[in-house]
Amino acid sequence: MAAHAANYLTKTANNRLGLWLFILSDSFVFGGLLVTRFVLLGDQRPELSQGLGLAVTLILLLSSFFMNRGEVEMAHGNQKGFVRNTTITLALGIAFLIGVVGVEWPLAAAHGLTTDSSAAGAVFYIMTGFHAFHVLTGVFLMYVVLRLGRKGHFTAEKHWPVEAAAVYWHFIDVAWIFFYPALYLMGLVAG
Amino acid sequence: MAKDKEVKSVDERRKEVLRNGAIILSLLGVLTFGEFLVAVIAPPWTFILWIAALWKTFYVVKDYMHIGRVFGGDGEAH
Repeated sequence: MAAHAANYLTKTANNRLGLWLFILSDSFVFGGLLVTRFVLLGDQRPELSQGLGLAVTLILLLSSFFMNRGEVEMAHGNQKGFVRNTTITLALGIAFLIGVVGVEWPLAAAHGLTTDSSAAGAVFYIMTGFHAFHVLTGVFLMYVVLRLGRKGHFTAEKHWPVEAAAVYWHFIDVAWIFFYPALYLMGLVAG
Repeated sequence: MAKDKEVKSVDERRKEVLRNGAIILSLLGVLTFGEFLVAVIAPPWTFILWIAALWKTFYVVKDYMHIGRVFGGDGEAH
């Protein structure tokens, strides 16, 4: 029994290292997009709704808070708390997607900002699109973890998938922490 | 008796971690509003926006992503 527990801890430590290496490699792609934005646009930014940008950013930060709560509850064996907090995180993730892809994209297009209208348009859609794809995969991952959690697959001692989903979700949050000012706040509106 | 104490200690630890998570959220919210105000009031001050972004990242990576677990094995409590 003790050997089995030790084996699980070793596996978790290895999985954790692998996940962080993946995150490190993925952050280079996000970093590349960020550099692209400054090379192509300099001190200009796309014409976007700053209020909407703030709203979706707060939604994503709030989702990270609930994801953290969900993980903590699972780590203390509180399955109900895990399910409740993870469900809220899932809903906030979907709200973020709707805010960016469902509202911001059509608004930007209505103002003439399209993928081939200008460098600002290309930069805006590739940055938000790449990030939204990560959010989508994060939402899917969370749905899987939530389903398994409801069935009682995790315990206080064994819940690596929950930790992995949480770390991935927070990483998406970190990427947006840089994308938000770069797209919505820094510089003047491109003419 | 000893088990009761242990359960209480675990519950207190849980509450403490949850409280810490709420404090981090408040800090992130304040910094985000600060960024927004800086951009509206003084758009050229981009270095402040970079500092705020790095500060927020520090909190998320340390307290939500628990980067310490990668180096400290499973010793770090939730």
